[in-house]
Parts: sequence; structure tokens; C-alpha cells
Amino acid sequence: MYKELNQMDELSRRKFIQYSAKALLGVGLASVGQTPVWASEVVRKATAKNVIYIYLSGGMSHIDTFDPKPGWKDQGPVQAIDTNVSGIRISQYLPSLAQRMDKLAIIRSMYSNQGAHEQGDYFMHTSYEKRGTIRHPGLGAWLNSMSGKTNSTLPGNVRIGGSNNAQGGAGFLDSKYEPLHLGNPEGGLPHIKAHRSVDDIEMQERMALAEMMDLSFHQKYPSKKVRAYSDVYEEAMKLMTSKDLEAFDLSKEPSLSRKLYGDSRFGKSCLLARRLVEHGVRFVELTLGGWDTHNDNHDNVEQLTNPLDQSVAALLDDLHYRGLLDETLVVIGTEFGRTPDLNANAGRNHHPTAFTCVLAGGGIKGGQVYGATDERGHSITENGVTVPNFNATIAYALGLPLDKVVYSPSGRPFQIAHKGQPVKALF
Amino acid sequence: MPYKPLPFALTMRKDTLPIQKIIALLALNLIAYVVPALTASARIFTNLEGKTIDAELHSYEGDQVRFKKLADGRLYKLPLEALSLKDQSFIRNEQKSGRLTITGYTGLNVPSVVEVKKDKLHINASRQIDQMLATHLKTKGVQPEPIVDDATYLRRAYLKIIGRIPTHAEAVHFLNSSSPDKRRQLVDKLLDSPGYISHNFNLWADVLRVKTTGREGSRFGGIFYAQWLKDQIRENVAYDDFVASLITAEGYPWDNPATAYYLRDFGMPLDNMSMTAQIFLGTQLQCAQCHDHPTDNWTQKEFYELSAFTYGINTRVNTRAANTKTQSIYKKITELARKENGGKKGKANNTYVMRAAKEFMQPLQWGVEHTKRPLKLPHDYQYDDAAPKSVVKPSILYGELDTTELHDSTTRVASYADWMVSKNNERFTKVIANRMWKHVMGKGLIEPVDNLTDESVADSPELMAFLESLMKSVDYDLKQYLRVLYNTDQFQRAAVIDNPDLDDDYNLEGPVFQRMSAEQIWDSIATLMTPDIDQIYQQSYRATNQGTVYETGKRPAAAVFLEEKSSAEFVEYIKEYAVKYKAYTEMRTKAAEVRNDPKRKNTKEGKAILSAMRKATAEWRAMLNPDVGEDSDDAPIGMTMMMSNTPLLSDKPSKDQRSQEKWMRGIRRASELQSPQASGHLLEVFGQSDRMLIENADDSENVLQALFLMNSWQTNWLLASKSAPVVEARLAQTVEEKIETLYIGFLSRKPTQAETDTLIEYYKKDPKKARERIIWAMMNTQQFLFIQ
Repeated sequence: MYKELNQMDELSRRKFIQYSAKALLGVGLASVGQTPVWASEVVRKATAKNVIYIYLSGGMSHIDTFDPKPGWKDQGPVQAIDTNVSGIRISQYLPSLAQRMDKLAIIRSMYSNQGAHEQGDYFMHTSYEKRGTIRHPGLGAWLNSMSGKTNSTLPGNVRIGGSNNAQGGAGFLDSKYEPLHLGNPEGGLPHIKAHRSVDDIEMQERMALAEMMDLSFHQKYPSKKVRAYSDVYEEAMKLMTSKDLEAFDLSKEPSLSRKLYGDSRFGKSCLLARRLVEHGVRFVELTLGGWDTHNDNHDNVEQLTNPLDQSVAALLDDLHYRGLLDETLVVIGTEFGRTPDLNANAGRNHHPTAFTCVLAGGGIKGGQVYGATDERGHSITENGVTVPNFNATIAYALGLPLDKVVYSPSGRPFQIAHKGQPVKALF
Repeated sequence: MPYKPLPFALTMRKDTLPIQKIIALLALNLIAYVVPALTASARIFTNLEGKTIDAELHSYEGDQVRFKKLADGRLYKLPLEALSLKDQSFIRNEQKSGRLTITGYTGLNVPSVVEVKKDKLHINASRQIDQMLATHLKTKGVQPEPIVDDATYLRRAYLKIIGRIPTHAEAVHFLNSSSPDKRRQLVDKLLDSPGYISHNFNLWADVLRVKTTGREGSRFGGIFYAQWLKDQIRENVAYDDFVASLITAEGYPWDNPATAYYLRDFGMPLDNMSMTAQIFLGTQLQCAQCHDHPTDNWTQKEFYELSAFTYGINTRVNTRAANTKTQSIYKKITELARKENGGKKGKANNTYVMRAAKEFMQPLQWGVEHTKRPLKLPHDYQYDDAAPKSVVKPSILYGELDTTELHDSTTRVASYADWMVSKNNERFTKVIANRMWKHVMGKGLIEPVDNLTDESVADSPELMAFLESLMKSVDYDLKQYLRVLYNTDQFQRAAVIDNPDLDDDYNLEGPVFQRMSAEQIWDSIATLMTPDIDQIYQQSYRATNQGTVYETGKRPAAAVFLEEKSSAEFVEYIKEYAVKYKAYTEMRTKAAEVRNDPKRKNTKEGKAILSAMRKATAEWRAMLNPDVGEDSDDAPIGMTMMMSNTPLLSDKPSKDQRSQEKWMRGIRRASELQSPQASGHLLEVFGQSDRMLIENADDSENVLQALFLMNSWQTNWLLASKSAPVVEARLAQTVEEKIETLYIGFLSRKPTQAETDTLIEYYKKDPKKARERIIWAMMNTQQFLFIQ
């Protein structure tokens, strides 16, 4: 059903444009972009359909959050508290999440070899090291390109907050898998309605006219980037006519749920993520920045964890009550941890040697801690998890073919998680 | 003394109009635009019959206007009444402002841009580059792209030299000129025009991560830095001097804005060093911060040795111990604090007077000073060549520098800067020669431009070597270097598609086909709305951090008082300030209680508390930011539009109108706005760098861009009925001329016959609808967004 709709939209528009341009000028159009389609090669049954990926940019201090080290001299003023799972303790900065520990799987043994933000961020998002010669796709693009959308009119990949220039976009895959970026969760989709002076027919006339003006330009410059713009216009047209646009409208939420998620921008982003997933957007990434706490680490982490704790707790409850948690994998990721030693500015520096990420829902067994670090949170003592393995775990939950080799247009072979192996103990 | 942004040659125009009036006038078509042309005074004048003359205004006497026609340089005289109403109003305004007199015309306000040296040798160098490329292409067995036509060249030259499309007048002027040398003349005009500053500011703001917002903009000096950077470009400061001034900067950003280079990475001196190496030496050392670089040559020890040069630089100034004066001030404040505490020792930090003193002195915490701080290896240093925690002696990465006598931080930094910018430092020259080649041609001979290794081979090593020697021979004068590049045939060739997914598909056949940068797109739209866009400057930035106001050209009050007041007077001020500070703090607590209590909120008592709170806040603010008699040079300038003698309307704007007003008030070049723009701004949507990482601009497509171009009121109403080409087209006599005017204004080219034929049919049916449709379509073409 969706597939048919999808095709119809595309065809009708293309046909119309070609028809109009021909009628106007008596010529055919330069070929418009071809979209590669992968046969979905499901390796195993997926435990998750969607992902809400919460990215804490800057590098979250693991020992002040999910991997506290009471007794360590530089732990600072923060205490460890009990959770609703006996034997597991996390930081007092996360009281609400502590009460939902039974839903969380904490991986305390993440490690990376990338100690700078740009490279670390890139590695987390793509499983590959940043190179000058290729752009690797992020998980959202892999997911949508390999197993398709569930809502044909909404984008399959959305990013909320952070900057437009973030890592892990479509990479060398088709640009239609590039995430739609919304800077402000409350703004809705800007310019989603046609201008009041433009009806459907006028819109088509205008599109045809623009195509006509671009005829010789398109012939002269059959570039991938130009074609990508044609694709983006198609996406935009589909989006404008979508019946599910209210997914973007936070004002449709009762005030109670807004209150539970909190008034912060991050809280609103979490709420929007739930609405989007509910309407069939498969991959939503939220960014919460500011974790680069080289100065005054504890003051900053305390402030940052306020919205993190409240909003993620609300998100987990909400997904749970709506029956969406089973099919939605919630991920908390970051590029690296922070040094156990405090520096001269009461801050912590970058520490890729050991850090923590968290998974919940989507088939993940909650109430567990995987891996461990030593008494000061410096080195991993058991079950180290590489960044590719972490991403492979997400892809595994989504039922994506991890060993499938996909070739870039330059003929180079790539895999979703760069040969990473899923951590099956988490399921 | 505070750093003052450079003054402009002529006084700035300040005829800012309240925006609702602009909107009202726009709606009635009562605003005529200033249409500047290539020189300060050249412009296309139209007479009442619709005939045009491309000329400079010469003088005005009685009712006679004298023009110098550009085509033949002869003087013509015309009665004012013979000109179009728009031109009449323009001329009257110029006369009224005193710029146009019986004897002459001083032109529009063009700021003094240091002109590029014009040397014949430049053109020889351009030819040499073309010859080297010809040889290169021959060995590769490929043909060069053909030289593009005037229209394509025109648009590219404007976009690549000054970062925006040409105005209608500028385009007509160039296309109609029959001078055989017109391309070379255009290059020189553009290099010497103010748009050059904007365009190159955008380049460096991206590389240096210049922010005028947030903490980086205020306490870390970004607002001072941004203006200073524009001044460096305006003055055409040599690149090596520019880099040296960044690296050796010390003091406070309001005195020396270059200090923001270190303050930008506050608390992260090692990262700052990594970025210095990346930007100026094209080598990435981030990996070596924690361990030996896995793919490049550098060891962790080498990284530390390099960092040792600048590690003595401290960016958190201890205001208490800064000098004898601050020491005595704090001594007295501590006594007052003790008094406040009833004579008890300890806990002085929690007293109002101490907190007030700290708050007032806060801006003085962030500056660049030299200390004796040694750099030590990390405690977990893992290699055998040195012990963990041992002190590191400075040593350069390569080349020769005697470091035995470098004991104090100042001389260390100075000698390190000398080594960095030395002509013997091959990397330093190579990186900037390659970066500026990319700036012109779209792709570096070596990519990425900031990650060179020993294995990096340029697309043409001979050309790379030539460019390096060229850079040295013009003494790092970037404008001269660019003049050589812009005058090559290579710059005039058709663009080549370079697919990033394919290696080796580009052989230097021509410049690289690119999407415009976010700034080029924004600035082009701004040009369509305001042809004299290059005349609008942000002369002054303001930023607030924790109550303290920072403003370009001014020092914070604490800095002024420290210099002008005795320590007794200073303490006296703090005492008074502490009273206000206390009142404010207490009222804030009370007001918060009222706000959180619905029962009290609307009572008389509650309202009184809230009103007292506002008063206390105002008093606190006023004492935190007293007027210290250092006026900023100029208020920010709004839209400079001219209007005819029409009564102004005043009505209540609707909510939509207000947001439209706000948008229109922000029409100025990207370089004159906050850096970066907030999320949701068109600049952000089209990929402006967020200034978090070096060169973080992005030119990829997204749905929001398409939605804006299709559905916004800007495309459908503002550009379609109020843009400069539309105003121009109204004056045209025939439909063909109208269509041509719109095409030149938006796409910088003439329509094809087939296009004209189609569009004339539209006009016959409904001229208004035709115009709206044509402009919508032009804005939604891809040729609008790409540089051919």
C-alpha cells in the first residue's frame, strides 16, 4: 500500500514535469537521478524497528554518570545511588534513570582510538575513521537504504538539535538518506505549506518552468550534487502532501506529557522524537551538547544531567505505555569519556580509553551492566566493546545484514559497522 | 587603549527607517532603491521615455545634471525632469546629503579598502600558471575546458571574488562593455571593493572558528576578534604578519583582539596547539596528544615539545594577584567582607561585598598572559624516551631553532612564531598557497588542505612549487597572490564536475563545479533585495555574559576603572555596587517565590514585589555596566534604502508582519551578522559553519532548503514583487525587456529565444502572475545555486 502510494507520487510528478516541459519546448528532459534499491537481505528477525539515538556531544564524563567510582580521590562531590535493580549503582545526578534501571543496559567498557571531537564523533557515527577521500554513511542512512521507510511521505531519517553540519549523514549513499535536520523541536516544519497564492496546478506550472530554465544547465552539469537537488525537491513535495505532518507539531501533545518531558529544549526534542517514531520515522537522532567539561566538570555535568535524566526517563515511560518500547531502540552515545583525574580547572579531559554508552528497548535486556572499568574508571577490566561492535549491536537489533558488502561509487567495499560484531549478551 | 575598528573613509549613512514604515512603503511601491554600479558613482540612469544611459554622476547645477557616459567617457547634460522618478529622487537625495554639488560628486559611502598592487609581473605569472597547466594536461592526455562566455564569467567572478551575484546594473555594465580588457578590469575592481572583505571574512571565520555569540563571543573576545579580522582583510595585512600577531598576542581582547585566538580554546592549551598546526602547517597532531601518531610521523613526545613553546600562556588571569593595585583592592574588600561577617575569619567568599567585587571584576579574568608554568608529560606516558610527568623542553617539529636560551614564555612564543612564519618553513608557505588556490579554483592541489603528510603529492607538483615561490615573492600579500590566480585562463574555463566518490576523475581541466556556500546564497538574496548591500556594515557588536556587557571598541568598566580610579575610589565603587547587588539578589529570591505561588502572583503585594524586582535589576545592571565615557563608534546600521518624499504611514503591524519586519531588518551580508547564525536562519539551513570545528561549512542539499525556496513569503512575495530586478523591470518598455531584466538580475544571463517566447505568453495572460511565476522559478532553478 505504502509502496504504491510512494511510486504514484513520484511518477505523477515526474511525468507531469516531463510532459509540461515537452509541451512547452518540444524536448525531453535530461535524465533525472536513478535511485539504487537494495534488496533487503534480512539476516535475522529484527528486535527493533526504530531507533531514537541520543547523542551527547563533547564526551560524557562516564564516572560522574553511569560508571561512578566512590572512593576514587577525584570522584568529586557526586555520590553513587542505588537503582531499582539490586547491585547496580549509578550517579546521584541521574535519580529518575536509576528508578528505570530495569529497562537499561549500561555498557561500561566502550573504548575508541579517537581522542579528538571531530574524529571521535565521526567514528561513533560511522564506525570508520575519518578520511579525506570518502564520506561514510551513518546508521540512519544505512537503515533507510537497506530496509526502507515505513511511512512513505515522512522522511525516514531525522536529526533534532545540534548543528546542521553534524556527522553521519548519507555519506556515499544516495542523498535522499540524508537526515532532515530540525534545529528547534518546537518550530514544526518551516514552510511546509505552499504559499497562499499558489495552488496545486500553479505549483506544477512553476516546477515545470524551473525545469525549462535549467534544461541546458542540467545537460551541461550532470553532477551528482545537482541530481541530489532534484531528489530533495521530490522529497519536499511528498512531505508537503503528507497526511502525517502533525507528527512534527508538539502543540498536539497534552500539557501533561509536555510537563513530564520537561521544559528544556532537549525535553521537547525527546517528545518530538517519540511523535516521529510513532508516525513511522525510523531513525531519529537528538543531540545534547555541552559535555566537553574541561572546566568546572561537576557543575557542568550536574546541569547537563538535569534534562538528560528527566527527559530520557519520560521518554522510556512514554514509549513503554504506548507499547513502542519493544520495537524502539533507545541509544545514548558519546564520542569518548573523560579522565578520572581532575585538571587544574576542576575539569576532566578527553578519555577514549574507557567510556560508557547505554541501550534500552528494542529487544535489549534491561537491568544489566556489561563490561567494567578499574577502580578509578581509567581502564577497561572486562568485555571491552569497540565502537564498530557497538554500532553492529544496533544494526543487529534492526535486523540489518552486517556482513553485506556495499560498494561506494568509486568501487570501494564497505560494511554497515565496519566488520564490527554485535554484543549478543545484551539481548 | 581599546582597539577601535578602523574608521571608514566617509561618515556612515544613518538614515535608518523604522521597519514598519519600510514595509508600508514597500507595499505602496514608494521606495526606490539605490542602485550602485561598479564604481562608487556609476549607475544606469533611465529617462522618462525608458532610454538608459550607463554613466557616472558628475555634477548638478540649477536643474541640469551632468553625466560622464562610461562607454565613451564624454560628458552629457540632461534636465533633471527628463529622468525617471526613481533617478530624480536618487539625485535629489545625493544633493541633499551634500555628496552631489555644482562642482562634483563624492559618490556613495565606500569604505577605504586597501587597493591591490597592480604589477605587470602578476599577469606574467598568470600566463606561467596557464603554461604549466597546459603541459600538465598534455601529459595526462586530456583537453582543457573552453573559456566561458561573458555571462558565466561575470557571475563566477562576482561570487568567487566578492561572494555574491552581480546586481542588475553591474551585470549590464559588464555585458555591454566592449573593452578587450574588461575581465582584468573587473578583477581589479572587485579586489578593491568592500565585498572582498565580506567574502574573505567568511573564509577565515570558518577556519578560525570566529564566534560573536555565546561565551566565545563575549568573555572570550569574539566580538572584538570579528571586527579586527575584517580590518586585517581591509588593510590587506600580509598573511605571515597576520599569523604572527595571532600567535604572539597578549593582553585583553578589547585591547588586542588577536588574543581571542588563544581564548577561543580556553582551558584547552593542547587542543589549541593541535589546531594551530592544522590551520597553519597543514598537519594534524590530535592523535599525538595521547599517543604516537599511527599514520603520520609525529610522536607524542614531539607534540609535547611543540606545545611547550606556548604552554606558559595562561588564559585565566588571577585578578586578585594581577598587580599591586588589584592586590590592595582585594585586601580592602576582604576586610569589608570580614566586617560583613561580624569580624569572623573565613567564608569571606560568601559575603555580598566579595561576590559583588568578583562579579564586577569578572571580565578581567579572561586575557592572555605569560607565566612560568612548565609542561609535563602525562602521568601515564607510555614510551621509553622520557619519564612520565617529566618537564618537557620546547623543540620544533622540523627545521632548526636553537632553544637552549629560551627560558621564559615571552621569548619562547616569539621564537616559535618566527619559526612558524619564516620563509624557510616550507609547510607554512605550501599550506597557504594551496588554501588560496582552493579558494579560487574550488579544490586544492593537495586535499585535504589541512592534512598534509610526507606522502602527499600535489595534482601538479610543478605548479605547487611555482605557487609556493609566487607566495614568497609577493611576500604573503594574499591580494596580489589572488590577483595572479584570478587573471589566469584557468579561472575563466568552464567548471568541471569533481565527483568526491571517484578518485582521479579531475585533472585540473578547469575550476571545480561547486554549489554556492551558504554565505554566497544568502548574500546573493540580500543583493537582490538591497543592491547597495556592500555599503551596510555592522560597525559594532554587543554581547552580554552574566550581566556584563561587552561592546566592540569599548573596554569593560572594570578595565577602565582600574586604570582611572585609585584603589580607594575603586573600593568605594564596589561598596556602592555591593548594595545594589545585594538588593538585586534578595529581590530575585522574593520574586521567584511570588512567581511560583499562584495565590500571591496577582495580589497587590505580589505585583509590588515584581515591580521592585525590575527596579532592583535595572539598578544592578546600571552599576555593573556604567557609562565610562567610551562611546562605541557607531550604532549598527539598518537597511539603507532611499525613499521619495512621501508621508510615512503608521499602523499596527500584524504578527506575521512583525516577523517579516524582523527578517528584513536582518538583510545585510553574512559577514555583518552574528557569527554563526542561529539554528533555523537561512544561513544555517544552507550549511554555514557552526564554528565548532575548523572549516565546518557544508554544501549539501536538504529538504528544508527546498521548502524555503518553494514556499516562503520571501520567494513568493518579497522577491517576486519588491526585489531590485523587479523594480528595474517596471521601468522597461516592452515585455521582452522586462523578461531580460529579470533574467539578468537573478541569473546574470539573458534569456534564450525559446524562454522568451514561452514567457511572453504568460505575460499576455496575466502580467502579475507571470512575474511571480518567473521569479519563483528562477529562485528554484539549480543554476541559481551552483557556480558554473
